[in-house]
Amino acid sequence: MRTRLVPAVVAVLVLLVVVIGPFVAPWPPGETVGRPFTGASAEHLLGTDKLGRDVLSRLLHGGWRLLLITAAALTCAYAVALPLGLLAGLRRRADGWVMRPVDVLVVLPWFLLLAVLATVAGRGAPALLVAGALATLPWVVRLVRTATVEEASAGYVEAAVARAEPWRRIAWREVVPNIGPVVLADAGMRLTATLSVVTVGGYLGLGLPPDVPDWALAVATNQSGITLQPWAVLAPALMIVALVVSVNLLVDTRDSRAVPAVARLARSGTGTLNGRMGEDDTVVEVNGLTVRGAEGRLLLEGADLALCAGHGLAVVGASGAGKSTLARAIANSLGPGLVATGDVQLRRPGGGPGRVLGWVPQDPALALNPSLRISAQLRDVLRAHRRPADAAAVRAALSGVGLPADREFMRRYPHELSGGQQQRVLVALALVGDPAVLVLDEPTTGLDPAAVTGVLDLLRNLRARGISLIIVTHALPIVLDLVDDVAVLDAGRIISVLPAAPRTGPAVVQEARRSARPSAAPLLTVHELAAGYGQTQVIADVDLSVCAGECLGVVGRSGSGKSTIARCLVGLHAPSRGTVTLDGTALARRAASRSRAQRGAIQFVFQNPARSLNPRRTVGEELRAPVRIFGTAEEPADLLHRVGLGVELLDRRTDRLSGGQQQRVAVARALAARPRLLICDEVTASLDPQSRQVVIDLLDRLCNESGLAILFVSHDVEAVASLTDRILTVTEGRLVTPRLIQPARTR
Amino acid sequence: MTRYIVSRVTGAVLVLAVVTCLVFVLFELLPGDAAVTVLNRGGASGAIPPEQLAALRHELGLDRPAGERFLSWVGGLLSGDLGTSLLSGRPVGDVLASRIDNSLVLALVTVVVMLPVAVVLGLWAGMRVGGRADRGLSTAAVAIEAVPTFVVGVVLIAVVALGWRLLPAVSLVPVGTSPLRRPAVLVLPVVCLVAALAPHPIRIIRARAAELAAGEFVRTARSHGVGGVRLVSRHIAPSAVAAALQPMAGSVAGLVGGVAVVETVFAYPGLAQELIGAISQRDFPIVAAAAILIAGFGIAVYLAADLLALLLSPVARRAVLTGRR
Repeated sequence: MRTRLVPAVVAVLVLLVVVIGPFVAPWPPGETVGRPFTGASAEHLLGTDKLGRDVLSRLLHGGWRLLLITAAALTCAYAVALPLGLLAGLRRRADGWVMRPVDVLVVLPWFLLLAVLATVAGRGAPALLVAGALATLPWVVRLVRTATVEEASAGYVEAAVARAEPWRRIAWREVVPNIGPVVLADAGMRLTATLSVVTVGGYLGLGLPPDVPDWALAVATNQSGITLQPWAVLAPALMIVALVVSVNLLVDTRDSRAVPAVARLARSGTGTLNGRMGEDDTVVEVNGLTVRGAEGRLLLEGADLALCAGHGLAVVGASGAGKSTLARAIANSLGPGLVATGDVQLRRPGGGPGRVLGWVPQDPALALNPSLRISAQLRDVLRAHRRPADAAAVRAALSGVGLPADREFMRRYPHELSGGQQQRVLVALALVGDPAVLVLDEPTTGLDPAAVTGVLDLLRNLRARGISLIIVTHALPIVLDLVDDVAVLDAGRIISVLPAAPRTGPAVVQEARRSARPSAAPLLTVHELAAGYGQTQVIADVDLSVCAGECLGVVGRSGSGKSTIARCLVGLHAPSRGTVTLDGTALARRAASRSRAQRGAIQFVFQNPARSLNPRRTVGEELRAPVRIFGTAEEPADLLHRVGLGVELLDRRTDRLSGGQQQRVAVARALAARPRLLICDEVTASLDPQSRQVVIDLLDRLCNESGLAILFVSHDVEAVASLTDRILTVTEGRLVTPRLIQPARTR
Repeated sequence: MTRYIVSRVTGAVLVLAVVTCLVFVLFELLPGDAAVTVLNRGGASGAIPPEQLAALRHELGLDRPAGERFLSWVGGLLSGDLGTSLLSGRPVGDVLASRIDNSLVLALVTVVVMLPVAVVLGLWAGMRVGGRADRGLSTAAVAIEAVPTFVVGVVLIAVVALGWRLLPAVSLVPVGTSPLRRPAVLVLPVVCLVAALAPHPIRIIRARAAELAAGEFVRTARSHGVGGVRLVSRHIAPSAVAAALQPMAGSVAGLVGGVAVVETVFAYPGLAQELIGAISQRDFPIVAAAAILIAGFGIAVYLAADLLALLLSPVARRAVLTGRR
């Protein structure tokens, strides 16, 4: 607060000088009132300038032209740039036409613009104005376009696109109100940059005529007398400094408040990463481990655990129960903003020095440095553990986890490996230095069946070598033979640690609640669908069909292409090949080219509830938009009732709702079009456990009661298993037959 | 990859061609042509005798059609003949070449100082985000970035040169000697330029380094025991610097204006005086030639930055390769 107060006061003072100054100046600004370059006196508080004019009076008169030219330049720049940026961000076809000239303008130094314009138009305010506007314009277009593209991925904009609303309406109603803050935050920077062009132009003598009182000109004119009368130069210079610095600091503090602060990793307690003498053969001992997130939210509470040398422990529990948090806290790899308290003690059996713990995080695509070859990453870790970091050591590390160890393979980047290979590289990194225990977070999630078998065999091998394992998993049955104990977490607490037996742990899948599902002719059929971004193919040869009233699950890890499939179905992404057929009629590739009935029949619910609804609008407005487009006679109040919400929410702004409420409103918005197929893309991913269950129950009810077909895309294996009739797995853009996950309804 | 580079270079040449056309068209739109400007400059105010005007127009070749003049101008540019100054009658090439070496020395010294300063300070602040040192540096960067170069210059002159009497206030270099023989005259101009151009890259590198340092793969590398200089130099610096290449290119391209200002502030004997004189006297041939040189410089700098990003970042390389295949 204090940091913003000072620049705010300074900015207001400078503005007061600029506005009131001309009326309170003691002398006429253009009149010679004394000898040149005399120092300060009672008559002339800041002395006189080169021509014997009063410095203070010229200072008070010298700001408004500067600010006026700057303001005019900014107004012109924004008036042109805002529509252009919106157009480029929303209309793919216009993007190139707008951005190519903008890119040219960015590349040209502002001095070139000023030089050419001042030569063509002659010196004067117009040249400064146009140069300032042209120097600002490309940056504003780029910013608006980037913000628009960002906004265009939000659920409410995509929903409007899928409803085929005209782009001007989307730009004005959905995008502009939400990019406003970003554009405003940048406006301060643009103001100082434009002011800089305008003042520099003035200083170089390319702007206003020399006798006009102007801060920049005053610096230029009086610089020759800086030794005699420094204030004639410094006073206007300091006015410019005060103005631009205060504005920039003001804007910057606002900017940093908008961006969530990146907290430093913090960990207290007496956890030691390296060996210490131990009396028994416990390798990991956790006492009272508590992890708090932002705003003190408890993620893990008072966890106690002990793991003996050579033993295995599985950690299971529902999504959000704190499994990964526990593993990360033990591995000392908590995310930013998380604070752990309590005690983690790690010892090598026998107490020798050396590495105790190796950490294998969940997503290898994120955990491997994308810009380093795998050999380089292995070498760095070998060096960190004081091992020889030569090619032989790298080769040994790779072959130790069953990877090829030839030169070509070692020189690959992570993105040149398959998911299973990436997972093995992560294990190889964790195994450097012969740790006593390996902590693995979901080591099999998202891998294709062959890779799962491979990783399990590798772990079995490690276990046989006497390495202890802590495995966080959703799929307990497949790791049961690797562990001795199973720790069950619920809502951040370890509720039980049981010996591993085929029946321990919570049933990962729930009991079937429905005996038979309605079978009918396929509602939607997908044949040989392929799609990508640019030249990169993301999905290929996808065939699937959904029957009326059926709930089909699509699982796969992030980046596998499952969302792309969903987006192709609803017409938000144009497939490169293949057909999507609804009721036997082939659908157009884009939503805008489909008929109104076809658009209404397939509705989409988006991942992030906070971005799924326009935060500037009320629940009622959100629900009425599809009713208006599709002409259904749905009442917003009825829709809310159907998703289990009260009518009192109708007038509430959507950003005032909880995540679960937002997601249910999003479902209600989809229902307003009277769809026959509801596509849910990771709708439970951002929800807390209670809200997640509420949404799953809601979808289940809709599917049962109204015969609505649902395509449930998720990496939440439990949610998929409890809700769906049939499950398809997507691996690297292809559908594969799932293994080891049984949907509840078919049992 | 080769195809990509060839297409980028072709694109850059095309942009330069477009700028050349634009400059020609803009100067065609001028009220009154070069002949009028020359005659007015002779001091003969009032009406210009039409026969004198026609004679000069013919001499300058202005009576030929615009297309023909454009072709001969472009042909001249390509063969190194930049035209003749309207004011002095000297070849533009000679005018520009006379002092360009001094300006280039100033620009080069600035780049050599600025790039390491930006990278080191940015990484240093990014690795201790939220700390006192980071807050101080970031605030200073934000504050200094906003101040116009000439204001920094006169404040430096007032404080360092006149107040503390440490360095010369005016960067006098005798004709025929290199400014490198008198390093003292370069200090304040270079400090001035670095202050104007380094803050933006510093802020970008800092933000990216902080983001990477909190990211999953750096946390994983830390959990594997990789730390210290190695972590920063190999796991963080390449991506952070790659992200800042565009802003750094912007800073280097911004040198054109910065050098012009700084030369004026410190009376440094570079190109600026000739160029600004030519602009205010509307000596088109000089301005046009300078504009094309400046545009070429800006385009080349940004192109170099984009190609350097490919060298630094395998992810960017992959995007290019898969995007073009």
